[in-house]
Amino acid sequence: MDVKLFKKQFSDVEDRFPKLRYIWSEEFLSMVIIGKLDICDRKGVFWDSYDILLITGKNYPFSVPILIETSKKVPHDEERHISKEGICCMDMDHKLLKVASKGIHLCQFILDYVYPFFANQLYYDQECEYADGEWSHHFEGIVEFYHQELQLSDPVLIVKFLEQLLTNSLPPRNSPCLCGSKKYKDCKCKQSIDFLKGLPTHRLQEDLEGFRKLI
Amino acid sequence: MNIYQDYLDNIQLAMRSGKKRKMYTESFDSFGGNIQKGLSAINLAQKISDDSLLPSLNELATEIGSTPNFNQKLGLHPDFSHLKGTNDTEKHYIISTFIDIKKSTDLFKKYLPEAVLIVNDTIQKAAIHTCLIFGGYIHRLQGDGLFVYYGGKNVTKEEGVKQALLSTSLFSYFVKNDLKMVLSQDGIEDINTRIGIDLGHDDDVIWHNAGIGEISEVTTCSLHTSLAPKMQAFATSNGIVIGDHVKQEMKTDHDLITPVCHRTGNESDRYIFEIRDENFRYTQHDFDWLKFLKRQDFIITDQDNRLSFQLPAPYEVRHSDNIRPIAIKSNPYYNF
Repeated sequence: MDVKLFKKQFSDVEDRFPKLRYIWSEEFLSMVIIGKLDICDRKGVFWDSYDILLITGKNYPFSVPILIETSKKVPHDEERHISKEGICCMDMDHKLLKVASKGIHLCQFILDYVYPFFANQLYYDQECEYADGEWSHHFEGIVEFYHQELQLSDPVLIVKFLEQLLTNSLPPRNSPCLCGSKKYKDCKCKQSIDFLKGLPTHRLQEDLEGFRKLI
Repeated sequence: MNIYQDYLDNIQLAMRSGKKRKMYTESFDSFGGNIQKGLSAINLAQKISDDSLLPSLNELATEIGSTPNFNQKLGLHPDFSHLKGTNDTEKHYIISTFIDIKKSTDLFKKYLPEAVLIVNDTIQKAAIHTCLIFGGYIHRLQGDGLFVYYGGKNVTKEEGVKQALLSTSLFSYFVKNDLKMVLSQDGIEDINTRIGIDLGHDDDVIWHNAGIGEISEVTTCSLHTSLAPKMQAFATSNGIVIGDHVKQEMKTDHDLITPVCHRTGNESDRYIFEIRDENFRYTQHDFDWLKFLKRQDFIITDQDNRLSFQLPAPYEVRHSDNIRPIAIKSNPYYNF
Protein backbone atom coordinates (compact mmCIF):
# COMPACT_ATOMS: atom_id res chain seq x y z
CA MET A 1 0.00 0.00 0.00
CA ASP A 2 1.64 3.19 -1.17
CA VAL A 3 0.33 5.50 1.55
CA LYS A 4 2.25 8.52 0.31
CA LEU A 5 0.77 8.19 -3.17
CA PHE A 6 -2.67 7.62 -1.69
CA LYS A 7 -2.54 10.85 0.31
CA LYS A 8 -1.33 12.75 -2.70
CA GLN A 9 -4.10 11.35 -4.89
CA PHE A 10 -6.72 11.84 -2.21
CA SER A 11 -6.31 15.62 -2.35
CA ASP A 12 -7.88 15.48 -5.84
CA VAL A 13 -10.66 13.24 -4.54
CA GLU A 14 -11.34 15.60 -1.67
CA ASP A 15 -11.54 18.55 -3.98
CA ARG A 16 -13.95 16.84 -6.35
CA PHE A 17 -15.90 14.74 -3.85
CA PRO A 18 -15.71 16.79 -0.64
CA LYS A 19 -17.89 14.54 1.49
CA LEU A 20 -15.45 11.66 1.23
CA ARG A 21 -12.66 11.12 3.73
CA TYR A 22 -10.33 8.26 4.44
CA ILE A 23 -9.38 5.99 7.32
CA TRP A 24 -6.75 3.32 7.73
CA SER A 25 -8.22 -0.17 8.08
CA GLU A 26 -6.22 -2.76 9.98
CA GLU A 27 -8.66 -5.39 8.73
CA PHE A 28 -7.88 -4.72 5.08
CA LEU A 29 -4.37 -3.34 5.65
CA SER A 30 -5.46 -0.58 3.36
CA MET A 31 -6.83 2.91 3.19
CA VAL A 32 -10.60 2.99 3.03
CA ILE A 33 -12.44 5.96 1.53
CA ILE A 34 -15.65 6.55 3.37
CA GLY A 35 -18.48 9.06 3.15
CA LYS A 36 -21.25 10.40 1.02
CA LEU A 37 -21.26 10.60 -2.75
CA ASP A 38 -23.71 13.14 -4.18
CA ILE A 39 -24.93 12.38 -7.68
CA CYS A 40 -25.93 15.27 -9.94
CA ASP A 41 -26.96 15.10 -13.58
CA ARG A 42 -25.42 17.05 -16.46
CA LYS A 43 -27.62 20.05 -15.63
CA GLY A 44 -26.34 20.12 -12.06
CA VAL A 45 -29.62 18.79 -10.65
CA PHE A 46 -29.01 16.77 -7.52
CA TRP A 47 -30.61 13.31 -7.67
CA ASP A 48 -29.44 11.51 -4.57
CA SER A 49 -26.59 10.69 -2.18
CA TYR A 50 -25.11 7.31 -1.38
CA ASP A 51 -23.02 6.29 1.60
CA ILE A 52 -20.05 4.37 0.34
CA LEU A 53 -16.89 2.58 1.37
CA LEU A 54 -14.11 2.23 -1.17
CA ILE A 55 -11.46 -0.23 -0.04
CA THR A 56 -8.37 0.61 -2.01
CA GLY A 57 -6.60 -2.69 -1.29
CA LYS A 58 -3.24 -3.52 0.18
CA ASN A 59 -1.60 -3.53 -3.25
CA TYR A 60 -2.83 -0.04 -4.07
CA PRO A 61 -2.42 1.48 -6.64
CA PHE A 62 -2.20 -1.91 -8.36
CA SER A 63 -5.40 -3.44 -7.00
CA VAL A 64 -9.03 -2.94 -7.93
CA PRO A 65 -10.80 -0.90 -5.24
CA ILE A 66 -13.82 -2.63 -3.74
CA LEU A 67 -16.92 -0.46 -3.67
CA ILE A 68 -19.51 -1.06 -0.95
CA GLU A 69 -22.85 0.71 -0.81
CA THR A 70 -23.77 1.15 2.86
CA SER A 71 -26.84 3.40 2.71
CA LYS A 72 -28.95 0.53 1.27
CA LYS A 73 -30.76 2.96 -0.99
CA VAL A 74 -30.30 0.51 -3.84
CA PRO A 75 -31.55 -3.05 -3.33
CA HIS A 76 -28.65 -5.35 -2.60
CA ASP A 77 -29.47 -7.97 -5.17
CA GLU A 78 -28.34 -9.45 -8.44
CA GLU A 79 -30.60 -7.30 -10.58
CA ARG A 80 -28.89 -4.19 -9.23
CA HIS A 81 -25.40 -5.71 -9.40
CA ILE A 82 -24.84 -5.46 -5.67
CA SER A 83 -24.05 -8.40 -3.39
CA LYS A 84 -25.93 -8.96 -0.14
CA GLU A 85 -22.98 -7.40 1.65
CA GLY A 86 -23.28 -4.29 -0.51
CA ILE A 87 -20.33 -4.95 -2.82
CA CYS A 88 -21.00 -3.24 -6.13
CA CYS A 89 -19.97 -4.96 -9.34
CA MET A 90 -19.00 -1.85 -11.27
CA ASP A 91 -17.78 -3.46 -14.48
CA MET A 92 -16.35 -6.65 -15.95
CA ASP A 93 -13.49 -7.89 -13.75
CA HIS A 94 -11.10 -8.01 -16.66
CA LYS A 95 -11.54 -4.33 -17.46
CA LEU A 96 -11.08 -3.29 -13.86
CA LEU A 97 -8.05 -5.54 -13.43
CA LYS A 98 -6.52 -4.03 -16.55
CA VAL A 99 -6.96 -0.52 -15.15
CA ALA A 100 -5.43 -1.64 -11.84
CA SER A 101 -2.49 -3.28 -13.59
CA LYS A 102 -1.47 0.17 -14.84
CA GLY A 103 -2.03 1.79 -11.44
CA ILE A 104 -5.24 3.33 -10.18
CA HIS A 105 -5.69 7.07 -10.11
CA LEU A 106 -8.26 7.44 -7.33
CA CYS A 107 -10.18 10.47 -8.53
CA GLN A 108 -10.30 9.20 -12.09
CA PHE A 109 -11.44 5.79 -10.86
CA ILE A 110 -14.32 7.37 -8.97
CA LEU A 111 -15.22 9.50 -11.98
CA ASP A 112 -15.00 6.59 -14.42
CA TYR A 113 -16.56 3.79 -12.39
CA VAL A 114 -18.05 4.73 -9.02
CA TYR A 115 -19.99 7.86 -9.97
CA PRO A 116 -21.36 6.36 -13.22
CA PHE A 117 -22.35 3.17 -11.34
CA PHE A 118 -24.67 5.15 -9.08
CA ALA A 119 -25.82 7.43 -11.90
CA ASN A 120 -26.76 4.24 -13.73
CA GLN A 121 -28.69 2.97 -10.70
CA LEU A 122 -30.66 6.21 -10.69
CA TYR A 123 -31.23 5.86 -14.42
CA TYR A 124 -32.49 2.34 -13.79
CA ASP A 125 -34.92 3.68 -11.17
CA GLN A 126 -36.43 5.89 -13.85
CA GLU A 127 -36.23 3.72 -16.92
CA CYS A 128 -36.14 0.15 -15.55
CA GLU A 129 -33.07 -0.54 -17.67
CA TYR A 130 -29.41 0.41 -17.61
CA ALA A 131 -28.29 3.30 -19.82
CA ASP A 132 -25.92 1.23 -21.93
CA GLY A 133 -26.98 -2.27 -21.04
CA GLU A 134 -25.15 -4.60 -18.69
CA TRP A 135 -22.88 -7.61 -18.86
CA SER A 136 -24.60 -10.95 -18.52
CA HIS A 137 -24.12 -12.34 -15.05
CA HIS A 138 -21.58 -14.94 -13.93
CA PHE A 139 -19.53 -16.81 -16.55
CA GLU A 140 -21.92 -15.93 -19.33
CA GLY A 141 -20.74 -12.35 -18.94
CA ILE A 142 -17.13 -13.43 -19.35
CA VAL A 143 -18.00 -15.28 -22.57
CA GLU A 144 -19.73 -12.10 -23.72
CA PHE A 145 -16.67 -10.04 -22.83
CA TYR A 146 -14.31 -12.31 -24.79
CA HIS A 147 -16.65 -12.09 -27.74
CA GLN A 148 -17.39 -8.36 -27.68
CA GLU A 149 -14.14 -6.87 -26.45
CA LEU A 150 -11.56 -9.44 -27.51
CA GLN A 151 -13.31 -10.76 -30.63
CA LEU A 152 -12.70 -14.32 -29.40
CA SER A 153 -15.75 -16.57 -29.57
CA ASP A 154 -14.49 -20.12 -30.11
CA PRO A 155 -14.01 -21.80 -26.71
CA VAL A 156 -11.51 -24.26 -28.19
CA LEU A 157 -9.33 -21.47 -29.49
CA ILE A 158 -9.69 -19.47 -26.27
CA VAL A 159 -8.62 -22.48 -24.21
CA LYS A 160 -5.56 -22.94 -26.43
CA PHE A 161 -4.60 -19.29 -26.05
CA LEU A 162 -5.12 -19.30 -22.31
CA GLU A 163 -3.11 -22.50 -21.88
CA GLN A 164 -0.23 -21.07 -23.89
CA LEU A 165 -0.46 -17.76 -22.09
CA LEU A 166 -0.32 -19.45 -18.70
CA THR A 167 2.61 -21.64 -19.70
CA ASN A 168 4.36 -18.77 -21.44
CA SER A 169 4.39 -20.64 -24.74
CA LEU A 170 2.55 -18.34 -27.10
CA PRO A 171 3.38 -18.63 -30.79
CA PRO A 172 6.51 -16.78 -31.97
CA ARG A 173 5.71 -13.56 -33.83
CA ASN A 174 6.33 -14.95 -37.29
CA SER A 175 4.60 -18.29 -36.69
CA PRO A 176 1.00 -18.83 -37.79
CA CYS A 177 -1.61 -17.69 -35.30
CA LEU A 178 -3.52 -20.42 -33.46
CA CYS A 179 -6.63 -19.33 -35.33
CA GLY A 180 -4.81 -20.23 -38.56
CA SER A 181 -5.62 -17.00 -40.41
CA LYS A 182 -2.20 -15.32 -40.71
CA LYS A 183 1.09 -14.71 -38.93
CA TYR A 184 0.58 -14.26 -35.20
CA LYS A 185 2.13 -10.77 -35.23
CA ASP A 186 -0.34 -9.63 -37.89
CA CYS A 187 -3.39 -11.39 -36.48
CA LYS A 188 -6.10 -9.56 -34.57
CA CYS A 189 -5.83 -12.30 -31.95
CA LYS A 190 -2.49 -10.84 -30.85
CA GLN A 191 -4.15 -7.65 -29.61
CA SER A 192 -6.62 -9.67 -27.60
CA ILE A 193 -3.87 -11.81 -26.12
CA ASP A 194 -1.83 -8.70 -25.33
CA PHE A 195 -4.81 -7.43 -23.33
CA LEU A 196 -5.01 -10.70 -21.40
CA LYS A 197 -1.26 -10.66 -20.74
CA GLY A 198 -1.69 -7.86 -18.25
CA LEU A 199 -4.18 -9.78 -16.12
CA PRO A 200 -3.34 -11.75 -12.98
CA THR A 201 -2.77 -15.50 -13.29
CA HIS A 202 -5.71 -16.42 -11.07
CA ARG A 203 -8.08 -14.55 -13.39
CA LEU A 204 -6.76 -16.33 -16.47
CA GLN A 205 -6.87 -19.67 -14.66
CA GLU A 206 -10.54 -19.14 -13.78
CA ASP A 207 -11.31 -18.19 -17.38
CA LEU A 208 -9.49 -21.30 -18.62
CA GLU A 209 -11.49 -23.56 -16.35
CA GLY A 210 -14.74 -21.89 -17.39
CA PHE A 211 -14.06 -22.16 -21.11
CA ARG A 212 -12.93 -25.80 -20.76
CA LYS A 213 -16.38 -26.59 -19.41
CA LEU A 214 -17.92 -25.14 -22.57
CA ILE A 215 -16.06 -27.49 -24.88
CA MET B 1 -25.12 29.70 -5.06
CA ASN B 2 -28.79 29.25 -5.81
CA ILE B 3 -29.84 30.41 -2.33
CA TYR B 4 -28.75 33.93 -3.25
CA GLN B 5 -30.38 34.00 -6.68
CA ASP B 6 -33.09 36.47 -5.69
CA TYR B 7 -30.51 38.83 -4.20
CA LEU B 8 -28.46 38.58 -7.38
CA ASP B 9 -31.52 39.24 -9.50
CA ASN B 10 -32.11 42.38 -7.46
CA ILE B 11 -28.57 43.54 -8.00
CA GLN B 12 -28.63 42.76 -11.71
CA LEU B 13 -31.86 44.64 -12.22
CA ALA B 14 -30.42 47.67 -10.44
CA MET B 15 -27.29 47.45 -12.57
CA ARG B 16 -29.28 47.20 -15.78
CA SER B 17 -31.67 49.98 -14.92
CA GLY B 18 -29.25 52.36 -13.25
CA LYS B 19 -26.37 52.31 -15.66
CA LYS B 20 -25.11 55.87 -16.19
CA ARG B 21 -24.37 55.88 -19.90
CA LYS B 22 -27.22 53.65 -20.92
CA MET B 23 -29.96 55.24 -18.91
CA TYR B 24 -30.84 57.50 -21.79
CA THR B 25 -31.33 54.50 -24.04
CA GLU B 26 -32.32 51.21 -22.45
CA SER B 27 -33.68 52.40 -19.11
CA PHE B 28 -35.26 55.42 -20.65
CA ASP B 29 -37.10 53.21 -23.09
CA SER B 30 -38.05 50.61 -20.49
CA PHE B 31 -39.96 53.09 -18.45
CA GLY B 32 -41.76 54.91 -21.18
CA GLY B 33 -39.18 57.64 -21.54
CA ASN B 34 -39.49 58.89 -17.99
CA ILE B 35 -36.17 58.64 -16.15
CA GLN B 36 -37.53 59.57 -12.73
CA LYS B 37 -40.38 57.14 -13.14
CA GLY B 38 -37.85 54.47 -14.07
CA LEU B 39 -35.72 55.04 -10.99
CA SER B 40 -38.73 55.07 -8.74
CA ALA B 41 -39.83 51.83 -10.24
CA ILE B 42 -36.40 50.36 -9.47
CA ASN B 43 -36.68 51.46 -5.87
CA LEU B 44 -40.09 49.97 -5.47
CA ALA B 45 -39.24 46.76 -7.24
CA GLN B 46 -36.10 46.23 -5.24
CA LYS B 47 -37.41 46.96 -1.81
CA ILE B 48 -36.57 44.02 0.42
CA SER B 49 -39.03 43.54 3.19
CA ASP B 50 -37.81 44.21 6.72
CA ASP B 51 -39.26 41.03 8.07
CA SER B 52 -38.66 38.32 5.53
CA LEU B 53 -35.93 36.61 3.61
CA LEU B 54 -35.99 36.57 -0.16
CA PRO B 55 -37.53 33.27 -1.33
CA SER B 56 -34.30 31.60 -2.51
CA LEU B 57 -32.64 31.99 0.92
CA ASN B 58 -35.88 31.18 2.66
CA GLU B 59 -35.77 27.69 1.14
CA LEU B 60 -32.54 27.03 3.01
CA ALA B 61 -33.93 28.49 6.23
CA THR B 62 -36.98 26.24 5.96
CA GLU B 63 -34.91 23.17 5.30
CA ILE B 64 -32.63 23.71 8.30
CA GLY B 65 -35.63 24.59 10.47
CA SER B 66 -34.57 28.16 11.11
CA THR B 67 -36.92 30.99 11.97
CA PRO B 68 -34.91 34.20 11.74
CA ASN B 69 -35.54 36.74 14.45
CA PHE B 70 -36.36 39.99 12.63
CA ASN B 71 -37.20 41.75 15.87
CA GLN B 72 -33.59 42.14 16.90
CA LYS B 73 -32.42 45.58 17.93
CA LEU B 74 -28.85 46.73 17.43
CA GLY B 75 -26.81 46.80 20.61
CA LEU B 76 -29.29 44.79 22.61
CA HIS B 77 -28.54 41.06 22.56
CA PRO B 78 -31.79 39.45 23.73
CA ASP B 79 -30.06 37.24 26.31
CA PHE B 80 -28.48 40.29 27.99
CA SER B 81 -31.10 42.96 27.39
CA HIS B 82 -31.81 43.10 31.14
CA LEU B 83 -28.50 44.95 31.49
CA LYS B 84 -29.79 47.92 29.46
CA GLY B 85 -29.65 51.13 31.46
CA THR B 86 -28.11 49.42 34.50
CA ASN B 87 -24.64 49.25 35.99
CA ASP B 88 -24.91 45.48 36.28
CA THR B 89 -22.52 43.15 34.54
CA GLU B 90 -22.65 39.51 33.62
CA LYS B 91 -20.01 37.07 32.53
CA HIS B 92 -20.97 34.83 29.65
CA TYR B 93 -19.20 33.41 26.62
CA ILE B 94 -19.79 34.85 23.16
CA ILE B 95 -18.51 34.36 19.64
CA SER B 96 -17.64 37.69 18.07
CA THR B 97 -17.61 37.97 14.30
CA PHE B 98 -16.52 40.94 12.27
CA ILE B 99 -17.54 40.88 8.62
CA ASP B 100 -15.94 43.54 6.50
CA ILE B 101 -17.48 44.00 3.08
CA LYS B 102 -15.18 45.98 0.89
CA LYS B 103 -17.43 47.62 -1.64
CA SER B 104 -16.26 49.14 -4.84
CA THR B 105 -16.17 52.88 -5.38
CA ASP B 106 -16.06 51.99 -9.08
CA LEU B 107 -19.79 51.34 -8.79
CA PHE B 108 -20.27 55.12 -8.75
CA LYS B 109 -18.41 55.44 -12.03
CA LYS B 110 -20.84 53.18 -13.80
CA TYR B 111 -24.18 53.52 -12.06
CA LEU B 112 -26.47 56.19 -10.75
CA PRO B 113 -26.31 56.65 -6.96
CA GLU B 114 -29.80 55.15 -6.66
CA ALA B 115 -28.58 51.95 -8.30
CA VAL B 116 -25.41 51.86 -6.17
CA LEU B 117 -27.61 52.18 -3.12
CA ILE B 118 -29.65 49.15 -4.17
CA VAL B 119 -26.55 47.09 -4.94
CA ASN B 120 -24.90 47.90 -1.60
CA ASP B 121 -28.11 47.57 0.35
CA THR B 122 -28.85 44.15 -1.17
CA ILE B 123 -25.35 42.90 -0.37
CA GLN B 124 -25.68 44.06 3.22
CA LYS B 125 -29.11 42.50 3.55
CA ALA B 126 -27.83 39.23 2.13
CA ALA B 127 -25.17 39.31 4.86
CA ILE B 128 -27.67 40.11 7.60
CA HIS B 129 -30.13 37.48 6.44
CA THR B 130 -27.43 34.83 6.26
CA CYS B 131 -26.35 35.60 9.82
CA LEU B 132 -29.94 35.59 11.06
CA ILE B 133 -30.85 32.19 9.68
CA PHE B 134 -27.88 30.70 11.51
CA GLY B 135 -28.85 32.26 14.83
CA GLY B 136 -26.54 35.26 14.58
CA TYR B 137 -27.30 38.43 16.46
CA ILE B 138 -26.43 41.63 14.55
CA HIS B 139 -24.83 43.76 17.19
CA ARG B 140 -23.67 46.69 15.12
CA LEU B 141 -23.46 47.97 11.54
CA GLN B 142 -20.09 49.62 11.07
CA GLY B 143 -19.75 51.37 7.72
CA ASP B 144 -19.11 48.54 5.33
CA GLY B 145 -18.97 46.02 8.12
CA LEU B 146 -21.20 43.98 10.36
CA PHE B 147 -20.44 43.02 13.92
CA VAL B 148 -22.30 39.82 14.75
CA TYR B 149 -22.49 37.75 17.92
CA TYR B 150 -23.14 34.02 17.84
CA GLY B 151 -24.11 31.93 20.83
CA GLY B 152 -25.99 32.85 23.96
CA LYS B 153 -27.62 31.30 26.95
CA ASN B 154 -29.39 28.48 25.15
CA VAL B 155 -26.71 27.69 22.64
CA THR B 156 -23.60 25.61 23.26
CA LYS B 157 -20.24 27.00 22.29
CA GLU B 158 -19.77 24.21 19.78
CA GLU B 159 -23.12 24.97 18.17
CA GLY B 160 -22.47 28.72 18.15
CA VAL B 161 -19.08 28.21 16.53
CA LYS B 162 -20.63 26.02 13.84
CA GLN B 163 -23.32 28.63 13.17
CA ALA B 164 -20.70 31.36 12.84
CA LEU B 165 -18.58 29.30 10.48
CA LEU B 166 -21.51 28.21 8.34
CA SER B 167 -23.00 31.64 7.86
CA THR B 168 -19.68 33.36 7.15
CA SER B 169 -18.68 30.58 4.75
CA LEU B 170 -21.94 30.88 2.81
CA PHE B 171 -21.66 34.65 2.60
CA SER B 172 -18.02 34.44 1.53
CA TYR B 173 -19.01 32.05 -1.26
CA PHE B 174 -21.73 34.46 -2.36
CA VAL B 175 -19.34 37.40 -2.58
CA LYS B 176 -16.40 35.51 -4.04
CA ASN B 177 -18.35 33.63 -6.69
CA ASP B 178 -21.90 34.77 -7.39
CA LEU B 179 -21.46 38.47 -6.84
CA LYS B 180 -18.10 38.54 -8.53
CA MET B 181 -19.54 36.87 -11.62
CA VAL B 182 -22.34 39.41 -11.90
CA LEU B 183 -20.26 42.51 -11.20
CA SER B 184 -17.28 41.52 -13.31
CA GLN B 185 -19.56 41.51 -16.36
CA ASP B 186 -19.54 45.29 -15.98
CA GLY B 187 -15.87 45.46 -15.09
CA ILE B 188 -16.40 45.87 -11.33
CA GLU B 189 -13.79 43.65 -9.71
CA ASP B 190 -12.87 44.77 -6.26
CA ILE B 191 -15.73 43.71 -4.02
CA ASN B 192 -14.63 41.23 -1.38
CA THR B 193 -15.02 40.25 2.24
CA ARG B 194 -12.58 39.75 5.09
CA ILE B 195 -13.87 38.07 8.19
CA GLY B 196 -12.51 37.59 11.70
CA ILE B 197 -14.12 35.27 14.29
CA ASP B 198 -13.16 34.71 17.89
CA LEU B 199 -14.62 33.10 20.98
CA GLY B 200 -14.31 34.46 24.48
CA HIS B 201 -15.13 32.02 27.29
CA ASP B 202 -17.31 32.92 30.28
CA ASP B 203 -14.42 34.31 32.31
CA ASP B 204 -13.15 36.37 29.39
CA VAL B 205 -16.34 38.25 28.53
CA ILE B 206 -18.12 40.89 30.59
CA TRP B 207 -21.53 41.95 29.30
CA HIS B 208 -22.48 45.49 30.33
CA ASN B 209 -24.33 48.60 29.32
CA ALA B 210 -22.01 51.06 27.53
CA GLY B 211 -22.96 54.71 27.13
CA ILE B 212 -25.62 56.79 28.79
CA GLY B 213 -29.39 56.79 28.63
CA GLU B 214 -30.60 56.10 25.13
CA ILE B 215 -27.10 56.77 23.81
CA SER B 216 -26.07 53.33 24.90
CA GLU B 217 -25.80 49.69 23.93
CA VAL B 218 -25.44 46.39 25.73
CA THR B 219 -22.05 45.15 24.63
CA THR B 220 -19.07 43.07 25.68
CA CYS B 221 -15.78 43.99 27.22
CA SER B 222 -13.52 41.19 26.09
CA LEU B 223 -10.11 40.70 24.60
CA HIS B 224 -11.67 38.25 22.15
CA THR B 225 -14.32 40.69 20.95
CA SER B 226 -11.49 43.13 20.27
CA LEU B 227 -9.45 40.51 18.49
CA ALA B 228 -12.16 39.64 15.91
CA PRO B 229 -11.66 42.85 13.85
CA LYS B 230 -7.91 42.53 14.25
CA MET B 231 -8.06 39.03 12.79
CA GLN B 232 -10.29 40.29 10.01
CA ALA B 233 -7.45 42.62 9.04
CA PHE B 234 -5.16 39.60 8.71
CA ALA B 235 -7.56 37.73 6.42
CA THR B 236 -6.88 37.42 2.72
CA SER B 237 -9.36 38.82 0.23
CA ASN B 238 -12.49 36.72 0.81
CA GLY B 239 -10.71 34.97 3.64
CA ILE B 240 -11.74 34.05 7.17
CA VAL B 241 -9.35 34.12 10.14
CA ILE B 242 -10.38 32.45 13.40
CA GLY B 243 -8.99 32.53 16.92
CA ASP B 244 -7.59 29.47 18.66
CA HIS B 245 -10.62 29.22 20.97
CA VAL B 246 -12.83 28.77 17.91
CA LYS B 247 -10.59 25.97 16.70
CA GLN B 248 -10.82 24.26 20.07
CA GLU B 249 -14.61 24.15 19.86
CA MET B 250 -14.52 22.45 16.48
CA LYS B 251 -14.85 18.71 16.94
CA THR B 252 -14.04 17.98 13.31
CA ASP B 253 -12.49 19.71 10.30
CA HIS B 254 -9.21 20.58 12.02
CA ASP B 255 -7.52 19.82 8.72
CA LEU B 256 -9.12 23.00 7.37
CA ILE B 257 -7.25 25.22 9.81
CA THR B 258 -3.67 26.48 9.48
CA PRO B 259 -1.84 29.15 11.48
CA VAL B 260 -1.78 32.45 9.61
CA CYS B 261 2.03 32.50 9.71
CA HIS B 262 2.10 29.49 7.37
CA ARG B 263 0.53 31.69 4.71
CA THR B 264 2.45 34.88 5.39
CA GLY B 265 5.78 33.15 6.00
CA ASN B 266 6.27 35.48 8.93
CA GLU B 267 6.46 33.74 12.30
CA SER B 268 5.40 36.92 14.08
CA ASP B 269 1.95 36.55 12.49
CA ARG B 270 1.34 33.29 14.36
CA TYR B 271 -0.01 35.09 17.43
CA ILE B 272 -2.59 37.83 17.18
CA PHE B 273 -1.98 38.77 20.80
CA GLU B 274 0.70 38.14 23.42
CA ILE B 275 1.26 39.00 27.08
CA ARG B 276 4.87 37.99 27.44
CA ASP B 277 5.00 38.47 31.23
CA GLU B 278 2.14 36.03 31.62
CA ASN B 279 3.46 33.72 28.94
CA PHE B 280 0.14 34.15 27.11
CA ARG B 281 0.16 33.72 23.37
CA TYR B 282 -2.98 33.53 21.28
CA THR B 283 -2.85 31.91 17.84
CA GLN B 284 -4.81 33.01 14.79
CA HIS B 285 -5.66 30.58 12.01
CA ASP B 286 -6.72 30.72 8.39
CA PHE B 287 -9.95 28.81 7.87
CA ASP B 288 -10.59 26.96 4.61
CA TRP B 289 -14.24 27.87 4.38
CA LEU B 290 -14.74 26.52 0.86
CA LYS B 291 -13.82 22.98 1.84
CA PHE B 292 -15.87 23.35 5.00
CA LEU B 293 -18.86 24.38 2.95
CA LYS B 294 -18.46 21.53 0.51
CA ARG B 295 -18.55 19.05 3.37
CA GLN B 296 -21.95 20.18 4.59
CA ASP B 297 -24.82 17.79 3.98
CA PHE B 298 -27.04 20.48 2.49
CA ILE B 299 -24.43 21.66 0.00
CA ILE B 300 -24.05 19.83 -3.28
CA THR B 301 -20.97 20.09 -5.47
CA ASP B 302 -21.85 19.32 -9.07
CA GLN B 303 -19.65 17.89 -11.82
CA ASP B 304 -18.44 21.38 -12.72
CA ASN B 305 -17.41 22.02 -9.10
CA ARG B 306 -20.25 24.51 -8.59
CA LEU B 307 -21.90 24.61 -5.20
CA SER B 308 -25.61 24.74 -4.57
CA PHE B 309 -28.13 24.10 -1.88
CA GLN B 310 -30.29 21.24 -3.06
CA LEU B 311 -32.50 18.50 -1.78
CA PRO B 312 -32.85 15.39 -3.91
CA ALA B 313 -34.92 16.36 -6.94
CA PRO B 314 -38.44 14.87 -6.87
CA TYR B 315 -39.01 12.05 -9.37
CA GLU B 316 -41.20 14.21 -11.55
CA VAL B 317 -38.42 16.72 -12.23
CA ARG B 318 -35.71 14.12 -12.85
CA HIS B 319 -35.03 13.83 -16.56
CA SER B 320 -33.23 10.63 -17.39
CA ASP B 321 -31.81 12.24 -20.54
CA ASN B 322 -29.71 14.45 -18.26
CA ILE B 323 -28.20 11.61 -16.24
CA ARG B 324 -27.82 9.24 -19.18
CA PRO B 325 -24.50 10.75 -20.43
CA ILE B 326 -22.97 9.88 -17.06
CA ALA B 327 -24.76 6.56 -16.55
CA ILE B 328 -23.77 5.34 -19.99
CA LYS B 329 -20.16 5.00 -18.83
CA SER B 330 -21.20 2.19 -16.52
CA ASN B 331 -21.61 -1.42 -17.64
CA PRO B 332 -22.34 -3.34 -14.48
CA TYR B 333 -21.58 -7.04 -14.10
CA TYR B 334 -22.50 -9.56 -11.41
CA ASN B 335 -20.46 -12.52 -10.29
CA PHE B 336 -21.13 -13.28 -6.63
